[in-house]
Amino acid sequence: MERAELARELERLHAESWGWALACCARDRELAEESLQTAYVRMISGRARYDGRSSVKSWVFGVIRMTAMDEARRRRRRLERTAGAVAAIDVPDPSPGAEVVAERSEQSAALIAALKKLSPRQQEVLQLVFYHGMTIEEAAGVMQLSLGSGRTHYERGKKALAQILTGEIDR
Amino acid sequence: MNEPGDDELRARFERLREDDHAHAPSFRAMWARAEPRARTTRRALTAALIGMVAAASVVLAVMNSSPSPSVAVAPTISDWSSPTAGLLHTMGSELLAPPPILSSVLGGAAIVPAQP
Repeated sequence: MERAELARELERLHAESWGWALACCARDRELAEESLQTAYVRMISGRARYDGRSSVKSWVFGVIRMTAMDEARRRRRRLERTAGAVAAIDVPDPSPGAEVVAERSEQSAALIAALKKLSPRQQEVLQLVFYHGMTIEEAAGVMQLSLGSGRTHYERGKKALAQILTGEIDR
Repeated sequence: MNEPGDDELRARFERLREDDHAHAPSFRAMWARAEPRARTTRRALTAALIGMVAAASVVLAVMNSSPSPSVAVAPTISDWSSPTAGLLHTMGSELLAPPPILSSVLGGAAIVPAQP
């Protein structure tokens, strides 16, 4: 893909890419910015190349997902080194900041809290389908899963999310 | 209480999307920061590739300059002589030697049949 065309596509998808980076980084804004920036570097430098086998959006989202995992791993190692801990450390639940919390609608906050109770795969597939408008097949491609696995995570995740939002279960 | 259906879930995610998009970082600022980093990455990749090609060339050159020990030329059977050949030469052994071949004695001269 030519550089000018890549720039146009990335700009067109930027807002969506930001939303996806947030989802991949457990809504940690700082980590999401780092991950999205690094993903752009990889695409511009050619370390990640578009081969035409999927849509541009699916490709961009796949790069962002892998980059977010790398950045999260790097941050965990940094924390382990500075804290001197040997065991794996969970990435701390990010505090978005008071001003961001105030600006976010109440419903969005409730949805985010409900999503966090699902498994990572369920969160991802629901985000890709409901937030980004992908088909289950496209979502499975981004997540590098078979269609069957993607559909299973989708169905179970959707059912669980609906139950959590209505307060039927508190996982 | 009725569970939210697909439409309601979609509406909730749409509100979250609007919130996120309203606070997305500037694309131009991110692109401007990404470009110099991408150039550095490309230069590093190119340098690494050139280094690999140079190393491979050196290895190939060294391999081609020194003869391979496995390609030694085997001596022909006519070059071989028995280590005990000297023991076969005794005095008068030439008397027991087979007669010379006719052509070698005549020195290649033509044999003219005798005139009747």
